[in-house]
Amino acid sequence: MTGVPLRTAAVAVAVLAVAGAAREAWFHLVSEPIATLPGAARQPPPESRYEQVRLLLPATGRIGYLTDLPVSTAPGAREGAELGTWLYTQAAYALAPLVLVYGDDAVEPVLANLADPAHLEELARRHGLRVEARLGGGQVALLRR
Amino acid sequence: MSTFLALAAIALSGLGLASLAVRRGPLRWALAPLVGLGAWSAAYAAALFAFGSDPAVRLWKDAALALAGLAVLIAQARTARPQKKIIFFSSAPEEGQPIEDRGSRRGLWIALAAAAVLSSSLFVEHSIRHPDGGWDAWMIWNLRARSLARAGPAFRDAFSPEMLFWAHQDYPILLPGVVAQGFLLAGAQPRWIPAAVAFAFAALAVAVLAGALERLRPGGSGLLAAIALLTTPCFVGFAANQQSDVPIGAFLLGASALLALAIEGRSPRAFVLAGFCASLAAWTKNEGALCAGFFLAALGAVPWGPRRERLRAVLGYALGALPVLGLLAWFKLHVAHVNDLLHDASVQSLLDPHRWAALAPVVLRRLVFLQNWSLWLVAEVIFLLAVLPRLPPRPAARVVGSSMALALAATAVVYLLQPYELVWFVRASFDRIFLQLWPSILFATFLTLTGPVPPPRPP
Repeated sequence: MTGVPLRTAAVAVAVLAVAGAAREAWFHLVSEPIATLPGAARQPPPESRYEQVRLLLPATGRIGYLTDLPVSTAPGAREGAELGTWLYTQAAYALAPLVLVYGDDAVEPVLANLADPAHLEELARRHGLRVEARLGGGQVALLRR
Repeated sequence: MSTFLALAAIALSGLGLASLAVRRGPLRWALAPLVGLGAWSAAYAAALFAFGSDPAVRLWKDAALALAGLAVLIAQARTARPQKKIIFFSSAPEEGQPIEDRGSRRGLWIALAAAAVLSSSLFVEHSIRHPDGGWDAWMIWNLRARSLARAGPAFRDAFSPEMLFWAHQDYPILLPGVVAQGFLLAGAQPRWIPAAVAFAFAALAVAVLAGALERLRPGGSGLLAAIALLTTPCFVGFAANQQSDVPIGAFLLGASALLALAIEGRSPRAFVLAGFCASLAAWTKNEGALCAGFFLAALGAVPWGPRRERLRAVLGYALGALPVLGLLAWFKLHVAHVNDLLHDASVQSLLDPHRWAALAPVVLRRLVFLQNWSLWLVAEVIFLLAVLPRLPPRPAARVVGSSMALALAATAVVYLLQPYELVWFVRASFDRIFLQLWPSILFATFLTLTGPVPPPRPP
């Protein structure tokens, strides 16, 4: 045997391609139902949560970052469902190029990014900060010393 | 003006570079935008770090790239002689009959067009549903692009060690460099720019695969391989996720194709461009640096030609890789910070039999992970076990295949060394890492099915 006739290869590719294309289409059209696409397209972007606070922040530089959720801060150690980590990365993406210094209440201003707005006062008190602005239904706030 | 200059920089530098190895044909037109985009991004990073973020720096950089590409093209046109048809060496008549009849060829083209239309539609659907791309896209790649585009003189903040390590500040910036320049040209950060860049890299991967095989194995191999790539289920999804796995896969494929062209066509300049392409893969993602090294090792170790010729090939490849690898080395020494995967790595993890025992089944499971791979990986394993041993050795395919095998072995080592929970980490990353190699694996597979074109008989 010095080679495989391409007609033989073509038959094999045809069978595999039909299976592959069907799997692709199933995922994109059925698993994620295509009928839900217009609704998904109308969803506000995740960064809309930070639109108001962005107007109060400097364009560049460092700000502090506090949250009421656990955040994975070291390689290898993961914190449960990772909602806190997800919120941090979402905020960093929305507010780029600002550097969000996690857990640092000495860098002003401090952005509080919360799962539960009821935790805001307690979080501010614990870090010796006052609430300067409460935005987005209280889930995002600006704190200062 | 600046957009026109940027397009000229990509087009002319890409055509100039591609023409060093491939003077005509579809492969040239597929390689040119790929290496042009890579050169445009690498030059952006070099200019940014050397001269700062002033818009004039980018204008001068684009002008220099465009002029350099134009100069190469003019020099080539002046020295152009009637090109001899490249004669690929062949030891015996080959059995792998090409598909010659017009009806079958038309059928292949129709199948490829159908696969391309389906894939493009699904790409658009996924991009509408997830306009910021996948997790890694907005956590790493598009975050960096936004930072570079918005920060102005404070661009070094994009790599600040004060951000949590999830931003992967140590990752090289070919993809963010392309997207950030798109943002800067647009004067805003619209979401269609990273999506368009992702689409372009995916399309170029398909085009280079088809173009390279049609040149080296005319008769339908290229069309079949392109159909195979387009109907690999995770290809479209990962492309639309705007992560760097498809771009790095495209550059690795470019390097594989050029190495094969250089070996089978005895084209020394193709080795240089292969090195350049591999270095662009290294500038796209850390894994690319490993692969670039494995190409070099395979080029020297696989007996595809006399030792002296192999040594010359290794030197040519290294010469081509040098400029961008130099940029990468500088970046790693002066800008990047600790890589989280090798954070606290120890040899003990590598020798721990429990970790090997945990790794093996989860990797084997990916082979039959139909959601992402359908039956393509099963077919590849069957090919490797049942067909490959019966075929004569194809030196070029061996070089590419050995490099891919080494890359997979290195991936296993990284899996064992990395600090995360092993099964979670493999499940989260294996498919993306394998997709980086998949275009080159398909290329090597189709390169093996049939032999090089025999020299034409004199009339």
